[in-house]
Amino acid sequence: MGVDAGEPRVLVIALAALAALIAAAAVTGDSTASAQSAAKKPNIIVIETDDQTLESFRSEVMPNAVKLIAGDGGTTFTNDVVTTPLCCPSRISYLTGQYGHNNGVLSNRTGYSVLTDKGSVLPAWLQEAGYVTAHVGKWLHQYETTVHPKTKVAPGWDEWYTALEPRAYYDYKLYVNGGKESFGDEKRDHLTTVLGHTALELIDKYVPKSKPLYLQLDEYAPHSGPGSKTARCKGAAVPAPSDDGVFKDEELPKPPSFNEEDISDKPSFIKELPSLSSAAIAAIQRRYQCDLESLVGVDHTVKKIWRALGKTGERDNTVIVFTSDNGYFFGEHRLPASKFRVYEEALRVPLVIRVPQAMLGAAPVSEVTQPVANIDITSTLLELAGAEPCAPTGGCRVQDGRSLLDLMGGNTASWPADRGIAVEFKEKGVPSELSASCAFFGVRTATNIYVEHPLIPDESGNACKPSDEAELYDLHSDPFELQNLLPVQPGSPAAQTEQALKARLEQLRDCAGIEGRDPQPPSGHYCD
Amino acid sequence: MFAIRDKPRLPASAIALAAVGFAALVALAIGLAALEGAHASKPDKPDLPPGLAQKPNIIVITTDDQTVAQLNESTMPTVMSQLAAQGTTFTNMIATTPLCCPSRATFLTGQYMHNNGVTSNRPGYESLVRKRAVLPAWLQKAGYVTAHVGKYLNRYGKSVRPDSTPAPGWDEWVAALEPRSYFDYELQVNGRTVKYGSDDPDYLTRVFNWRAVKLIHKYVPRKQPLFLSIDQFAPHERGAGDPAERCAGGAIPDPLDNQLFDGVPLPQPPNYNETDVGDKPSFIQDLPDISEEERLDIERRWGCALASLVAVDRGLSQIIAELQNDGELDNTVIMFWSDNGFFYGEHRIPAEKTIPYEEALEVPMIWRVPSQYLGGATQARTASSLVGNIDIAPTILDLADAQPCLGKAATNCRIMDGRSLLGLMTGDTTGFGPDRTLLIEQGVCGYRGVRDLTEVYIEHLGTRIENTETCNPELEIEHYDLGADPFELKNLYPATSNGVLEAQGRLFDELSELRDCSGVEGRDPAPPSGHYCQ
Repeated sequence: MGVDAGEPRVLVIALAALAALIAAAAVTGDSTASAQSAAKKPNIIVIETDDQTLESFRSEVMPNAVKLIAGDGGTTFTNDVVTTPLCCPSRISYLTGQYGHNNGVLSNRTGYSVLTDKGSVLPAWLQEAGYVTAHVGKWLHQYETTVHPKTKVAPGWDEWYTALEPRAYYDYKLYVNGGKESFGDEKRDHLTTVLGHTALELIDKYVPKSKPLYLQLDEYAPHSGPGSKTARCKGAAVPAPSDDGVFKDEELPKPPSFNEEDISDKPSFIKELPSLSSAAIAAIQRRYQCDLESLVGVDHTVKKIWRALGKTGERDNTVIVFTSDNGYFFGEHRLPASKFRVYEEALRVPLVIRVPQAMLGAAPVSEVTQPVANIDITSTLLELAGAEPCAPTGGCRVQDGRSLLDLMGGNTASWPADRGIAVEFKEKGVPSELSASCAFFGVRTATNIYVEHPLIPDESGNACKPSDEAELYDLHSDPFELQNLLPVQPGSPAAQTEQALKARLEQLRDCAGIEGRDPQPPSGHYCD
Repeated sequence: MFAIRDKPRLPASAIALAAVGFAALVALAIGLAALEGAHASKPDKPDLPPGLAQKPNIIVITTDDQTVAQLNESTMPTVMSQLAAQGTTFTNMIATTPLCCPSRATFLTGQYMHNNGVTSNRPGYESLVRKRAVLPAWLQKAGYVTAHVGKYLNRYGKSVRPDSTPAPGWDEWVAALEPRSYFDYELQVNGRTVKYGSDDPDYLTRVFNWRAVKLIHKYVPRKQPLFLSIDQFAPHERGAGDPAERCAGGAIPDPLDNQLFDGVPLPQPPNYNETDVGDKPSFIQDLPDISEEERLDIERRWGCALASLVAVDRGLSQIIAELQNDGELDNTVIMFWSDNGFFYGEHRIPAEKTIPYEEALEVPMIWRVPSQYLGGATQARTASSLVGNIDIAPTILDLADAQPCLGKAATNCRIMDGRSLLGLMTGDTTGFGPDRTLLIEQGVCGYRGVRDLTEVYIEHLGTRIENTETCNPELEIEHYDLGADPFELKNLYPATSNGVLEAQGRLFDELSELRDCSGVEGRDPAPPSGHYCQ
């Protein structure tokens, strides 16, 4: 396979393209000349945590990630959302660059089994563009029930160190390149520790080499999981032994939406939530502390990766992305736990991207405030890799997101003003918690969120029934979503907003691609 | 074969004998005497083919609203001597939903009410999900002949046409549907309705006993092992009655036992007529003190309940005698339990069962399992691990080498929430360690809670909004340390120390896990909620 940079899909910074051509000419199979190879396509390292909130991405908890990735030279996206706030759909939207309504996955229950064109995903596209691809960590729900045998490596991956269900922090299996390995309950077996070591070994093996590396590290932390040896973190995330207790005195944040006093404006399935008892708050606080502690292990891994890149001289040739698959509730809106609701706590996640300045062709801005989403990361990486969203078998995916490189370089001219991002969820059957709708579709802009709940659990709790309940919040004046503006006063500003967002949602519901970039979608609706 | 007035044929001599003696002492004698006539006409039974004989007959006797304290040497000497002294008594057994119909639905399904759908007595049977997927039907698949005698799930008769239709899974069907009464009632017998009057031989418990014995006589020993469920009505209270009667409004004893336990003092544990209920939820705080007049009434009903159990015990002696005569006692598992407990003035509750204090949750349960079904091991006399009614069906299936399935496909199976108790009966506590936690739950807007060996934590969910299926989300919480405070006098919620607050946080999370749980990890498929029951 050649190492040609290929034809850039949108535009590639001239300097990078030139460098890539030079590098392509120079590179042979096994190179130790890092300075030369560094000038070709960047290594890409994506670290994704599981259920990490925006709130917990701070220097007290993850000093290395905040300093090394987000800090000098990195860009923090302060308004990043996931298009479906639930593990599997969120991850598949990232892997495909598509909304769930295009890739087929809108719930964990159906998960991987309903993903369309399973061979046409980001790692396969990157392989086509000359990357060696490595997956480490958590993988998609229902993968294990969809493929036979489940030791099978998913399409697109050269290296495969994957945690399938049932996942745990101790006493689990990793599926390793067609085989499997069992881990016990010793200190060294802690999942975050093992995933960190694995990532470092892969960096050691492939960086620098003739081929750029795409490493996707899917952490399990801070997802709650089995394996706690102490009562304290039972039912929560399990920190590594060295980090156990480091946040045991941390106060639970209590924003204005915490244990929301008046929920009479909320949909029926939220209205049924009782006010949080002191027992509930004690439980939430304990889980919050354990979750934070589990992130310390992830932060150690970030530091080690950074050091490894420094040792090989590849820092300036490596793109690093840090994000989470969805947020989480810690008592906001009376929700004692969980996600898959459309409130900001679940939708918004940390996103920081570090692209070396030479590749960006401009000084990176430190903060981007425009609303962006997980589907945009995909387009960004494709542009950096000079790759097309097309599988070797020929299947291409129309990307619903946009590359973030312009925004990162400070060029906002090409970015749509008042962008609307679709947020969507559709469970197969009744959701695992009845304080949720069976399906929602909404649109989130920089200033508003409008969501329809067309299906909600019925009285029996065993089936879903149609509903016309909806929510509209003004995120500017009401960032904690305390007051649903629906139903609106006719003629009021809110009524105009509702009308506009309703129309917007009609476009987004079945949208595909970006106008001016992609072919006319079958629905006639572009996503932007 | 049956007359419209179908009566047990108790020899007059036996009745006379009982009338002059202590019921406890003569119970066995009556049982034996009652069966003498029947043996003469016993048909020849085929020899047992090898293989099938390996499965035990299984006989379950369920009483109705019987408390743990009501099971003792004086009320039920046969249960004590034939079951407790030879089998395993479970000293920490609870009904996960302390109410007749949900508890019995759990017995039939091995599931918590949130999985089998039966959350209350109304609509009762109608709300049972997958009505064919029940214990007797699974046992039929495993080669059993199945027989039901007695009370069935509430409002069963309202959900079938005609109401004499036997319920799915039963080869033999003798059911007392509503309105139930100790006299002047109807039985549904294999599709026909049989009326009973008010003479002594019509006494409900006697009729159940006699019919149970007849069914054993008919099916034991045969090619097929027998599963017989005897659902007694005693000591359930009957409601209104002739005020001249001793037991008006209470449980009606067999006329043979009408003088028994008259005037026995009402037990008054420390929580009887609880003095300080300021720590309790509002509906307990609203209860008035128990007056002396009321105390006397509770005491009267207490004595009647005790007396009504004597006939149940007598039935067991008749059953054992029949099994002995058939040479099948050692091939038969016998289990005795009650569907829920009852209050007799504890916490100021004069007469009730649904409230989740220990008096309602705890029930007696004893299993007599011949050692051949325990791999030759001897039964432990007691098992103190926490167990629940969800564990009964898994245990019976284990004994019968059966699965909770109507067919081969996984969709034909019910996922049970409990686990087999057979290991515990030989002292193996695997799966029943001190960390075992059971869910307790009631109704749509009732309560949910968790109970382990040392603590109970309950969230009362509020009141139902009228004409809707939704609840006013008004939480009232109770938390008791059962080790230090077995009578639940001091509600620890809200916590006044960090230690207790942390414990309550842990219990809250356990409840969050269990409230929508299903199945047992390692045995059952991953539940939709993501939460296994264990």
